[in-house]
Amino acid sequence: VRSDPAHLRVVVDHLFREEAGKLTCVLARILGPRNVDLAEEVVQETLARALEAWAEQGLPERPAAWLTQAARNRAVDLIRAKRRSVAFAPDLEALLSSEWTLVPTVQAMFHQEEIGDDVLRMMFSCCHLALPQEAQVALILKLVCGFEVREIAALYLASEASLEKRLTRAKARLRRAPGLLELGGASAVAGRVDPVLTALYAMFSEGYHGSGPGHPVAAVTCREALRLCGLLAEHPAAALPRTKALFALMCLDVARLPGRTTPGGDLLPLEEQDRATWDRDLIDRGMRAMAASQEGDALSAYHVEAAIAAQHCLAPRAEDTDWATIVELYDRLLELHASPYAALARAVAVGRARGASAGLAAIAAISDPRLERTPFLHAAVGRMRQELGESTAAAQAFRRAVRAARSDPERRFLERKLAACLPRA
Amino acid sequence: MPDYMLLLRGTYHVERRLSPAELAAMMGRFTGWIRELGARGQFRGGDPFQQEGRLVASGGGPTVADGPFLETKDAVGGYLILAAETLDAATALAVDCPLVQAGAGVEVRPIKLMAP
Repeated sequence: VRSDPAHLRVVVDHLFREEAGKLTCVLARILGPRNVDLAEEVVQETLARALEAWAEQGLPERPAAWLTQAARNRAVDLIRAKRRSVAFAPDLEALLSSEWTLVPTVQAMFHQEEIGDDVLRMMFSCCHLALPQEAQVALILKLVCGFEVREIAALYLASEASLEKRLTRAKARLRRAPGLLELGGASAVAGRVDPVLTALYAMFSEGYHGSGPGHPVAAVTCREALRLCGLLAEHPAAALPRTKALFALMCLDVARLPGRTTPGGDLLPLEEQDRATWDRDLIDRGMRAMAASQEGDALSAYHVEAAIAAQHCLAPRAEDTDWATIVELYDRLLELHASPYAALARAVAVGRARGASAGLAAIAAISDPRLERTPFLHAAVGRMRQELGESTAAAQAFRRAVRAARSDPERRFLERKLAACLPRA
Repeated sequence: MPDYMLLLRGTYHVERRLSPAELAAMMGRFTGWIRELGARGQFRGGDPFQQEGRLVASGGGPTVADGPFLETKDAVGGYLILAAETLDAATALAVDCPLVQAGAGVEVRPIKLMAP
């Protein structure tokens, strides 16, 4: 059993991503949404206690089960201490008030097969119609996706203090409901699907383009987003065509995660990836979901992004990639949802389809200061300059990219690129 | 609706007699029964008792004994307080209680409201 603090920290971080949301949702189901702060407290305390206990005794054999049991015990203690003064979920109130039924009831809630339903109900409860969509999304990221306030603030380019304020207001709204939203009303759910999809997409992207130091790709975050999206795609009321499209996109991206990094954690560009490592079953699942998402005639950005991912999955080798089709898909994506990142990805595809000069012209046409601060823009310019044989300009671009790198693996990757265009000593 | 206390007797005996699977199934039915009473607003509370306890002889004094409550088939094992329209209705509820169905005895006692 390894218990050095750094390793422990990583394990706990991963577990937190996977378990915190689930535990918070079950606890909010038992304690009622009006006690969502208590639910969060129980989860925080449980994780803190786990860190302490594990640092001393080493990791338990099944850490997730350990966490669940600890959270359950803590919940029972808390209910005993507060049941005379605090109202919990109305339909469980009688069962929680009596020692005849308290422990079996809490146990059953943590065991139940429908934990997925609690998670869905929580996500939809966060999307109260009186809240602005940004607040709905932030609430889902905080309560269901296990994001810290700092991470959500970074996503929205907001200060932690202002985000904290927004979350407090949103939670106050959530607290007014006696119980979590029932999933029975199909129309009530369908009206709230979009912010849920937005939150899951944000969670997925954060994992996929992870900005955390030392973690260029947080696979665990991507997989958890995929799992949550799968719950939506399987629920009749939530499985709209765009839900299925987002699920397809996540399948097709997660399937290729094993190829994106070396065993040492370094990033690999598309053409250097070993396509044999891609998860064929997951690609099949993604393709089936994409086919299922074609019903109806509404085309969402998720549809187009899934189609782009599918193009990569379908190419047997990197040089077989149909870049012309990918450029067309990016054109459509930009019509549906203009973003500087999509514009840059389009320019890269143009560079592959029509040559580096055309790619550079496409990059020059985008002017967005946000891109200047990311390594992506400079790396794309560097590559195209290099293809044109302009080593000095290429090196200059890669130097800028290195300066903008957000993690060590990203920096090492870009430094290799930079070294490749410098004249050999 | 007035409140009635149901004193459950012989519950330890029932617990010993049932197999673990039977006991789990019975507690499942019991939980469902309480959930329903709760939904109808008739569940006021109730808890099981530990087997260990003390018996203080009537009249107080120094005669205090550890209670061998588990030995007797009519040892009180817990209580419930339910709201019902009448003593008959409360009794009908008591008869439906899965613990009683499984062999426990029950004493149904209306809570007495003292005259002001």
